[in-house]
Amino acid sequence: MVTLAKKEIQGLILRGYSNLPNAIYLLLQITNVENAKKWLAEIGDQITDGDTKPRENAMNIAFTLEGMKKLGLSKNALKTFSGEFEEGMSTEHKQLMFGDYGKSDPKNWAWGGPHCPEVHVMLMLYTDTNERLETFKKVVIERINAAGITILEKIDTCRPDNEKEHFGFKDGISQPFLAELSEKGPADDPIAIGEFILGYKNEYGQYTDSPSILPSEDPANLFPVEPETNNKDFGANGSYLVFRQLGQDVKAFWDFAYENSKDKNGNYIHEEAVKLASKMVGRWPSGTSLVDSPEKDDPSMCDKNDFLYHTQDPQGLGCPYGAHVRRNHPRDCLEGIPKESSFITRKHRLLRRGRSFGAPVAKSMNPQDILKTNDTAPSGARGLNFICFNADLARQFEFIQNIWINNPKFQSLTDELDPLVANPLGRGNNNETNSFSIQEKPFRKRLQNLPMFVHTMGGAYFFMPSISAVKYLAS
Amino acid sequence: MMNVQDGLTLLFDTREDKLQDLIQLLNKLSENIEANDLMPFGKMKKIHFARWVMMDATHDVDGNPIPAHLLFESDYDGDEAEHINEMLDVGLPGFIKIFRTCKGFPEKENVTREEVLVFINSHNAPKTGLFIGAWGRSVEQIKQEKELYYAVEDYLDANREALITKSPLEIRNKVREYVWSKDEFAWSKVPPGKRSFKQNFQYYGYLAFLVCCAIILLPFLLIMVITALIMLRRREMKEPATDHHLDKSKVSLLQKHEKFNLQNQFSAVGNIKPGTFRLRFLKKTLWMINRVSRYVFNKGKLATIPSIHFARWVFLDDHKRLIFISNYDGTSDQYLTDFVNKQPAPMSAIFCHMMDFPKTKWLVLEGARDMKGFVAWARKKQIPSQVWYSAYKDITVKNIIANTNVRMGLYGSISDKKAQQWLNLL
Ligand code: HEM
Ligand code: HEM
Repeated sequence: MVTLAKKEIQGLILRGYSNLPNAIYLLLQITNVENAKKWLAEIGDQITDGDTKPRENAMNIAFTLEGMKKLGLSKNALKTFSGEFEEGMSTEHKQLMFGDYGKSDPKNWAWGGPHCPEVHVMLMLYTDTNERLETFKKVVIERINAAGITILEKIDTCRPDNEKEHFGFKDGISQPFLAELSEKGPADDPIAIGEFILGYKNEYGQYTDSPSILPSEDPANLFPVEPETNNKDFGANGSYLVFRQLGQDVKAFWDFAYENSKDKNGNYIHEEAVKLASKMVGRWPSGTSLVDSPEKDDPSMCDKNDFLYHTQDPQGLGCPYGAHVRRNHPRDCLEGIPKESSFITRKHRLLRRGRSFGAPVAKSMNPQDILKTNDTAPSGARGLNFICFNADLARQFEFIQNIWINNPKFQSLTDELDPLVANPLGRGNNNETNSFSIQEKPFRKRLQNLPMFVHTMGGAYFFMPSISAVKYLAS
Repeated sequence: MMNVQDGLTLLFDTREDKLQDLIQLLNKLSENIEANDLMPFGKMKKIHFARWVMMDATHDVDGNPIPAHLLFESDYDGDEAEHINEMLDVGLPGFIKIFRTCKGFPEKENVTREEVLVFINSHNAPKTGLFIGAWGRSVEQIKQEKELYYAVEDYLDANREALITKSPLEIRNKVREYVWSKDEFAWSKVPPGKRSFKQNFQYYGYLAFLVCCAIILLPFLLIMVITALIMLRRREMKEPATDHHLDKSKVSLLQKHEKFNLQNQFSAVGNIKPGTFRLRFLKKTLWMINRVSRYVFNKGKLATIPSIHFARWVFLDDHKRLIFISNYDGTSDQYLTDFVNKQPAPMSAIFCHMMDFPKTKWLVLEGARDMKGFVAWARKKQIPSQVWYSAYKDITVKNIIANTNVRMGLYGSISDKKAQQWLNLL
């Protein structure tokens, strides 16, 4: 275990702020650089660091490559960011990797797409009460306006008390175990902190490539020296932030679950629909894993996360091979070799920090209520602001999105994508059918032609720098 | 008789004055790889994978120039002469056009097929290490078994209600009845070719021979390997550390060539370290891999990497350079991380003899375990393929093996338990 420079690391990386349920993200575009720098210097002091737990409000900031360029980061330095970051999220190559076709095509995005105005900065505000968010927001926005900075988007969030996402499932249960952040001490093998924060050793015992500046560009000596190059480690204590705004079609999801679990007479059976939906997620609505409780929901285990797939459910009879959580973190079940699998999956983890947006279809988030409600909200009215941190975009986020979510040949499956979040158009060539099989005895049940439940509405890669690096950008 | 697969590598020197012609030609092939009128790969039934690669002129370790090359490689079924003949049957005009851009090809109006054949044979690079993911399966078998697999899946879906109440064995028998009633699956009534007596004799006889040799020569071998390792270690210690710098713009260029995402190709070429020691060591290692690979790596895994269809090492330019050629499932990013995550030791044992490879310790330690260094090295050595053909772009090695297993479940009388295991494959 290493000591973290918690005063340097922005708070959101180390904490999910579950005690601050109200939040808004502001996407900004800089026009006047002078004024923007002044503004940044002012708010630089108010950025929440990871040292103390905020009680009332928190503010964090992240930048796109264009944003840092605009703020005058040198050409040299800009070149040292990772290739994936430089390429961004909306090129043709990325489209193919992530399955952003049709409705999810970057051309249709509300922000971050090729036809959208350049995003430079994301300011993220969190508060305990809604009233406080309103006042906080007002003050912050006034200052932004005063500095002549354009607000491109105000992305609202919602965080229901039961911590459910819009389909009605508890989210945010499974996170990588980080010894440095644990108060109780390690229960199992912790993941190296360098997988999520630059400047620390990763799972290979190496330092992930980090953006750097020349020694001459750091007269104030803000940054540590990179041993290999002798450059100054601008990225230390920072992290790459992935933001994908994902619209959720809740009605379509539950319609599909009910339609495909009808009894012989064509009647809906509520329990069966919930079960089918849970098979797609891999957890029950309460959060309990299908591995721990294969037959029915058992809320007493809702936060239990120490289960294994190969060991407890090798044939996928509880949690199907293709379920969202089994695909996105296969634990010990890759290649049927548990030890090797755990070794490998450790290298593909994400620190998820997203929040939902939009009003729930039914306040209870209960499937029966969802089905009963006559929902007239347009597509894209609600969904998940998927946000995660990682040190290596290629090996972590892009790998998961491409090789696990969007891979029709994931493991031993054929022509199946992530049933919950993948675009059924897959990699754009329409000869792939999108099915989902549920392992059963004597043979699997297979659902065909899954519709699109989740679509991409916008997105970009950001870099969330250390507190010192924010100050550096302001100078 | 079981089908045999092998790899063909042809190496030509290109003519500088015809470079543009060549680039245009290859682009044209690439645009319609299956059915162009010059070299329609889709009509060559024996080819699994093939590629044309242009290699720039460069220098060897001593600074002597190495001319620009054009490389052709194919992974094919059966006999090499038959394979070349089949290619000429449908692709003769294309070969002639391409060869006109190469040195040493007859410069006259009408070139005969015989002359083309002679030209090919005289540029055939010697075979070295070969790895095959799905042993013994011909292109035809792979394609047929894929259709069979889909038919079985669809049958289960369509008859779910009627089948679900039956025992696993009854279900399996129903499936078999259905499949065998179809003309298009008549071939599946006969199991795939097993090794013939002669092949078996060769397979096991050779294994016995290897084991005997190993036992008899054990003391000698041990001394040799230990001496060689000590000699190697002395060289390793003297070598400088390699740099970790990843050429990002090259990576993004290479990734633009990865259009399919389900399968891709990889070629990497580089100089072998100077001196005869490294070369001899490498030759021995590849020789051993070639001998033992069909016994050890016959489960479709190149050392637990279950995603490689074919992989090959070939010496070029009078053993000054080595090229590694492979066809695999997934993206190159995933492929390279797989090497580091799953099998760094064998990778080090082979590639440590090439220039710039991350420093190894005792042949297999460190080296490819150095994630950053390995990826930076591999990207540096990687070269794009101008033309790449796959006979079955939508099937992974795992699919191929699983599909065969589905077919094998149709034969003979099996227990209920075995039938259940078979159904678990679907
Ligand atoms: C609207 C879209 C999405 C919804 C509704 C959704 C929903 C869920 C739910 C309900 C869980 C279970 C709770 C938990 O284990 O924490 C979960 C887990 C997870 N999701 Fe998603 N998700 C979405 C998009 C994504 C995307 C785009 C990714 C990755 C690129 C992703 C990666 C993960 C991971 C890594 C886990 C944890 C698995 C584990 O560690 O066991 N999700 N998701
Ligand atoms: C049946 C097994 C083997 C036999 C009969 C054999 C035989 C020989 C002979 C006769 C030489 C000296 C001539 C030459 O340098 O080419 C030699 C050299 C060498 N052998 Fe082997 N060898 C065997 C296995 C191996 C193995 C398994 C390795 C290690 C992978 C190995 C590594 C070497 C090396 C590195 C040299 C060169 C030493 C030098 O440069 O002086 N050999 N071997």
